[in-house]
Order: sequence, then C-alpha cells, then structure tokens
Amino acid sequence: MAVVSRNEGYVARRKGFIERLLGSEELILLLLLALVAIVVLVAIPPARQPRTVFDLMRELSPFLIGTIGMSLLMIGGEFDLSMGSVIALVTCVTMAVFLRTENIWIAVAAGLACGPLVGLLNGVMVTRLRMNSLMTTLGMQFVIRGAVYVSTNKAPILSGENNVPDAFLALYHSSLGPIPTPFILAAALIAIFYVISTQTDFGRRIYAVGGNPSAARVSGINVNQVKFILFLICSTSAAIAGMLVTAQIKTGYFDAGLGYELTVIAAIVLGGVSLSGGRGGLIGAVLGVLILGLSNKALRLAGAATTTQMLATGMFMIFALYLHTLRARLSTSWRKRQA
Amino acid sequence: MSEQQLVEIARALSRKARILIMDEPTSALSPVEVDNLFGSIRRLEEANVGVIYISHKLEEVYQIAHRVTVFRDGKQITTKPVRETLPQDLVTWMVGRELKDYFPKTTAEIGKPVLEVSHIDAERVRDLSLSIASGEVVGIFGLVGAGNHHVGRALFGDIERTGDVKIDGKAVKPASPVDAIEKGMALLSENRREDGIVPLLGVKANITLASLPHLAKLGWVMPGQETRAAAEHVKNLSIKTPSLNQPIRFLSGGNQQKVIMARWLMMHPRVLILSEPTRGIDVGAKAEIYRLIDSMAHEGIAVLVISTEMPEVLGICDRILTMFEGRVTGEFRRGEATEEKLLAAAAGIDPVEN
Repeated sequence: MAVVSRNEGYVARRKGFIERLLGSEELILLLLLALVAIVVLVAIPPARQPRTVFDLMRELSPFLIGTIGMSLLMIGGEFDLSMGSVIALVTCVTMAVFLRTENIWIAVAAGLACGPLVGLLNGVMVTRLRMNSLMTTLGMQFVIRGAVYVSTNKAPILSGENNVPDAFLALYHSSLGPIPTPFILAAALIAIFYVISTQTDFGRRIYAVGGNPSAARVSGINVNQVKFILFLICSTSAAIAGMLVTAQIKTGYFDAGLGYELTVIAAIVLGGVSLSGGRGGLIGAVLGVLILGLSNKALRLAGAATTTQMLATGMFMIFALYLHTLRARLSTSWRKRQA
Repeated sequence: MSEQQLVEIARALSRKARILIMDEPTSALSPVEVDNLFGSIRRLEEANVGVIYISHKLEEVYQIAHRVTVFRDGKQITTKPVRETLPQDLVTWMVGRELKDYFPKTTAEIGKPVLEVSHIDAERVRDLSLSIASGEVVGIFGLVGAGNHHVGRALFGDIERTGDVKIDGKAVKPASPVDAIEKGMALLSENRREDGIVPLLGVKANITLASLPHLAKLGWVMPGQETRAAAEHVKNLSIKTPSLNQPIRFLSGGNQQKVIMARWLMMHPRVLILSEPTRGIDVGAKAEIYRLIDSMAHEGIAVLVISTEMPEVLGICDRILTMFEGRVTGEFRRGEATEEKLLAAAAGIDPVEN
C-alpha cells in the first residue's frame, strides 16, 4: 500500500547574522538607543555628566513599572487608558490616609490597594460585561480623575506639619551605591515579568489570547481569566508607579499622571508591541521607554520646551513604527526565500 | 458561508468582465448551488467571456473546462485539452508520482463505545444521538447548512447544547471546552484561520498550545521538553517547515492542518472530531491526512469526521450518518453506502425501494 509522502520534516540549522538581525526587534531598538545616546553625547554637552544617567534611571522608574503592566495587557489584546488617573488616585489616597492616621505604612497599603481595585473594575467590565476595553478604560479615566478633582476640590493634599517619614521618601530618593532605588525595583519587576512572559505557561497564554482568542479558547485556555489577571497586573503596576510618584512629590496631587498612559503606549508601540495584540515583548517596550526617556531628557538639558519634547516623542514613534514595518516585511521576504 | 460566496460571485459577474478568475469557488457550495454556478459559467462562455477556474476538484474540471493546466510546487507542469487527459494523469501530474490507494483505509480493531451522545439539541441541531467506539471512524455527511458542523461544536462545548454527552462513561459539561478537553475530546474546526492557528506564533508554540498545563511544572514551560515533543510530532506527521519557530502563517494549508492535528494528538485524546479536515488542501496532503486518520483509529481513538465531501466520507469511514436540517436522516455501514443513497438521505428524500 503506497501512500504519497513528499515531506521529510524539518532540519535544524543555525541562523545567520542577517536572519537574526531581521528577526529581532529588540536588536534594532538597541541599535536605535545606541544611536540616540551617541547623538546626545556629541550634541548636548550638559548631558555628558554621569549624573545624567542616574537621574534618568530615577525619573524613568515610574514609567518603566507602568510599562510592564501595559505591555502585557496590550500583548493580550486589550488596553487600559485609566493608568494615569490611578496615579493621581494613589497620591491623593496615600496622603489623605496619612494625614488621617499619621501612619505612613497604613497609608501606603491604602494607596497600593487602589491598583487591584481599579483593575478589578476594569477586568469585570471587559470580561464579564463584554465592554470594549479602550472605551471602558477611557471612561474610567474620567471617572477616577473626576472623583479625585471633586474630593480634593482641586487642591493639593500637602503633608503640612506632619513629617513624612524619611523611610518612605527614600523609596524614591535613595540609592544603593550609584543606582537609584526605584530603578532597582523597576529592574527587578521587569526581570520577573520578562521570565513570566517568555518562560511560563501563563506567558504563552497571553500571546495566544492576544494572537487569536478563538483559537486559544478552543485549545482550552480560559481567555477571560487571562484578561482579568492582565487588567489586575496593569492597574497594580500603575499603583506602584503612583506610590513612587507620591514618595517623590510628598503631595496628593490631582493632576498627577496626566497623559501618563499615552506616553507609555507610545513607548510600547515604539518598542514593537502591536496594537492588535499577540506580538512584541517586554524587552522591546522597555527599550522604547529608554529611547524616549533619553531623548526627552537630553532635550530638557538643552533647554528645550516641553512642546519640543512632545514633537520629539511623536517623531520617534513614527520613525520606529516605520522601522518595525520595514523589518517585518524584510523578514517575511527573507523567510519566504529560505523556505 | 455559501451565501457570502454567492454574493461575491454575483458581484464579479455584475462587473461585466472580459476575463473572470475564480479561485476555488465551490468549496462551500452545495451540489445544487454548484450546478447554478456552472450554468452561469456556461452563459458567460456564450457571451465570450474567458474564465480561469482554479480548483483542486477534478470532477469539476471535467464538467466545466476546455483546457486544463496543472501546477505543482509553483511550477507549471503541463497544459492540455481536457478531453485528452484522464483523471489519473491529472493526479499524477499534481503529485509528481503515481498515487495508488488514495484512501488507505484499513480496518482497525473496534472496541467498546467511547463517545455516547444522547438527544442533544443545539443551534441547528435537533435531537441528535450517536455513539462511536474505540478505533471506529464515523462520518457525518450533510450538505451545506445541514447543521453537521454545529454538531462538532456542540459536542465540544463551543456552542450551547442540552442533552447528554459521555466519554468513557463520564459526563461532559456543556458549553465548556475546558471540560471537554479534560475528558478527552479534541476538535479540529473547519476554520483553520479563525479558530485554529495562532498566526503570529511559531509552529512549536502552536503545536503545544493545548498541552501547556501538562508541559509546565509549577507554571514553568520546560523548553527542552517542549522542543522535543514538538519535533517528534513534526517528524511523525511529516510537517514541512524550515524550523520549529517558523511563524505558522507561512506554512501551506495542509501543513497548518497537520500542526493543529499535532496539537490535539499531543493531548492523547479519546475522541477526535475533525470538521472538514481536508478543506483547501491539495491532493497529496489530503492522502496524508487520510493516512493519519487511519493510524489514529488504529491507536484506539474514536474518530468523528464531519464533512461535506462525499468521496471523503465514503473512502475513510466505517459508518456514515447523514444529516438534513439538523436531524440524522440515515446511517450506513461501510460498503452499503453509495453516492446516491447518501445524497438522497442528505437531501431529506426518503429512499425509494427499487
């Protein structure tokens, strides 16, 4: 009984350099970061001090932490536009509870609790009530920030006579050796979630849910559960970022985090995460934050206005998007020629 | 689906084209609709419109074409007037060597009933009962719209249903693919692209998608184990891919289908439901899939093949059920089924005793 079988199966072979380059978004971003660094060092003398790097690490930490949550959520195919308002909420809740209880750690607990709480609300609305995440979280953003405005009467909550313990302020301002503490926290969280997203069962499920939710469901993956967890992670990461901000400004500030989520999304998209989900990684997103952070800091050091920074952010984003599209197309045609 | 296709065809016809290119136009059409289509094509012929008809269905080529060109692996093999060719010749050209035994059916040892379905009701399915034994290949044949595809989805839990479904005596919860998988059911849907492959992931990741909980210790996916398992399946199913990490969207339809089969075989299912397993796949790959189905039956899996292709169910099934408007209208053993009987039952016509 003869049956046709033309296929021999695959043969493992080593990847050439070009294939590696074309296949890796992260490498391209690393090169871009190096390029920006070189340009900055050459063109902007004030940036040449070692201080610049460490200041940058400290300033970017809240963004890096929020990026973790948002990029995982976006890979899973959803959005959370409420992150910035969560930051404002955290600063106000923390300071308000501190003034009331005079115990900073109870205040910290209360502030951090805002994260999972908002995440729960977002998660339930999107997975149970099947609402569109972009619109829902945008609405939440207005609700939360509006609530903060109303309850603070648009006045900052100052610590006044109460001394905020140095231990708390150290969260943002201290350093371990030359490395700022918040950056160490951010780096640790990035490492943990990088491992989770690439090596674990759950991480694989995130990519499947984002890439093709129907296929994921038919393969036995609980899509709603995965998305719910991602919303929790995202809002909690915003809350942690918000706590760093609170330690930084020592105030309950109603406009804290304004525009935060858009900056984060810009960095993530720059980093190669697709808006439609299923593609991209944490490393790329982190590199995106670094590229934008470095260029904007350099512009600030050179005396540029915030408007110029916005211009730069936009241009980088579009340029990086073009690079990614180009890379994807070249990689596809390269692979097709190989296969 | 077929209604959508008819609209597309109508749109093309309304453009008053000089040349019309049709790519697999009948894949989701019933025999009656195909006849209508061919009527339109003949009218186009009379209006001096040229038609390029791309198809892998040989019987259609013989019905409608004047000349036929055979392609294989992207190369043009030959062009001949249809009258000068035999079907075997076409197949040989398409495949590159002689294809004996297109349906390599051997009888596997049939054991105890594995899948027992009683009186289920679902969207487009009315009061369906059936039972499949280990090693048995049962087919459900129906025309488009008969509800046969919905049977698979109802059993698996993709759509709501009432009634009892038991695997090895254990009840399967309705509307829960997770429970169905746990009890040993696997479903290959007819829409590879919509709910089969995850296009952005690689071959390896697609193969192991349903087995993640088993491959992971404490949530950790062991990379070596995963690669070995995937490589083994790629070898056993002869999946053609340059690497395990090749994004699955670059593979041909037949190989994608094999990847999805590997995904389910990795789970060692008791019941495998295949919905249109060879849709959109070329002749050579079809034969391989039939061989695979046969070998799975030998391993004791209860196989349910849901198909609208008559030669397919006639060729590989031990028993064939026919469906019409959501109900089972006939059951035929291998050997007693003929094309006429199947078509009659699937069209809801009572068999006439000759």
